[in-house]
Amino acid sequence: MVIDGSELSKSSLEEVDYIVVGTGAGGAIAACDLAAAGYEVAVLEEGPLVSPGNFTSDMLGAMQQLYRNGGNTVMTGRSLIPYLQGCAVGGTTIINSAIIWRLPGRVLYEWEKLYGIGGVFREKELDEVYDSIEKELSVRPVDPAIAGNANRLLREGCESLGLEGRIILRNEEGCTGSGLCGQGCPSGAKKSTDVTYIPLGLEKGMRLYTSSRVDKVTVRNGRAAGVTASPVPAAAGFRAGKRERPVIEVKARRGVLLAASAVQTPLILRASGLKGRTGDNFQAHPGAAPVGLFDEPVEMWRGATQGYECTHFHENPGFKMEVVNLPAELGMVRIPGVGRGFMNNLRDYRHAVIAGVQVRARARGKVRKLPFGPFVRYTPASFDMERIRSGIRIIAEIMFAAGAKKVLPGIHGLPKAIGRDELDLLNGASIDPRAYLVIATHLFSTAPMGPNPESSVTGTDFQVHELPGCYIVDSSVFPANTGCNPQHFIMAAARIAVRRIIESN
Amino acid sequence: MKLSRIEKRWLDAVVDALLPGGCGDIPGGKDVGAVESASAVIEESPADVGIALRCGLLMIQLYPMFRNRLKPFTSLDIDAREATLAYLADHRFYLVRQSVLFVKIVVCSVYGREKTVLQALGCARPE
Repeated sequence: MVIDGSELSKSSLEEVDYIVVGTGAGGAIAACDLAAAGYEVAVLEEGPLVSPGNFTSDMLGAMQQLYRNGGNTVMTGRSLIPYLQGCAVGGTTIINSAIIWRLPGRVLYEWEKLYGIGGVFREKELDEVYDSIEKELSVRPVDPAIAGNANRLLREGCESLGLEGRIILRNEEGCTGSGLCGQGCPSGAKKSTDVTYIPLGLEKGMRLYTSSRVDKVTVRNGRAAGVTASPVPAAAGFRAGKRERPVIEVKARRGVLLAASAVQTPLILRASGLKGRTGDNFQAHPGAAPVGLFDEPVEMWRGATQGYECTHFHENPGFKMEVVNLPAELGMVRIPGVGRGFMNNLRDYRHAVIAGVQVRARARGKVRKLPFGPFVRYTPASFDMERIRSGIRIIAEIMFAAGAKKVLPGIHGLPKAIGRDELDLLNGASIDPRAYLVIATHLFSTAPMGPNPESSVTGTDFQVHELPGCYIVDSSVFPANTGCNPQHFIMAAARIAVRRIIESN
Repeated sequence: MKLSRIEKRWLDAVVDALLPGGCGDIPGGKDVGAVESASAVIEESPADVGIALRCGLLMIQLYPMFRNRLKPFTSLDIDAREATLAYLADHRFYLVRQSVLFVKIVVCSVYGREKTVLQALGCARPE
């Protein structure tokens, strides 16, 4: 059953076994698995339910329809760093490029050694869970026939330099290479959670509240007892003074699972009375994306949004590079200049390839709530910026090896476009984050797991130390960032968490 | 939040300088109604987006007055407007650069979705 919060005219109250907050990678699979195990489950999602037939191919429209705050979400620190989150049924899985990575064993080993979470994720169980998810989501490598020119050029460049890379694995079936992953897959080929685990959970009797923002977890006798939520004002038209805003109250007999993302989950916890380290330890994968200009028309809007990645430097020094096929309205911002110069440069747009470097950063930030919304404080460390700069240089080398005539590094203080013989200019570029157009993807660790309540927020049983009955099943619970696209591991961790929760209850 | 009549005039001048018409077969920003579209977008966007755009427009409008021209941006001729925007887009102060970049993002996001623009650039998506 689907209940549209924006349609509610009066307050509602119901009681279920489990409440799940969020319908992204973690929440959807957790809710579906709980419903499949026979429990009464209510899922609350802040965004609306949008079916693939109603997605728009226009990026601006998509941002207003599917992205948090219309795509205008920014981290603030030494520089402003945009980050993007989905805000619709399906969460960020609806707007990501569907990239699938199993968590590298060395990262898990590091977590066990540094953060004391040994035994939580057993290798054999993880493999079995990965296998099951990959089967359920039709995970497969990008078909070269729909990969498009931009991915082909990155691959050719890597191969000619002898760099390791791989065709990206994605959760999709029947992708036509429309390059519209960021706008919501129009053909429904992407196996985002809105077309997989959510419908499956609904078939099993799960109740889904859409356009319903969870404000806090309610606490009774020191234990999580439910949540209170509000209809999303913009959708519902409950602007101040119009009429009384209804309250959605859901009680949980057994537990509340939070999967609202590494930004929203800690804010819900803090609004529920938790303070201390909740929201600290925020981590991300910052990166930057130089542009290569080729003689041949590349037409990067044809083909898989992301189809090939260079993994040569993934383990050491800790970054990977991949094509990012942006729609023209976003991509043209990366073309330098204004006025007539800009208009002339725009003619090169169909010859452009945009590739990004994504760094496993050491920097840590904080998430807090301000009157106008979440406030994310984050500044990449010097070490992270050095790696972003190295990544830009390597992407430039790859592009030149693939036949680029010019590369636009996008670093303030350097020429707007550099040729092959000017690559060394990049070595001397500033590492001040304000000189770059840094974008952060993949957010983590704001309610990190660990055995010690002094240094962690969540226990190794996924239960919040200070709030029994409240469990975290999104990337907030990871003790650190993963260094790879996290959707698959978030899903695997959530499935394992649900098993532990059912066992313990 | 609706842009006021004055703010629309500022936006109009910026669009004219950023995406001028008469560049061969590529339509200019005003040819495709970028000013009206950007105003509509701001109206529907969260308040912080409107505030950021207004700050950017205000800075661009006032900057020439502090640069020995004693005229606001809207009173400059097209060449001087273009030179001012280019200067600000590469300014040594980060927030100045970012303000211009934000205005460019908003304007390009409405300009770059127009079919006539995409066709002229050879970027039209298959239907």
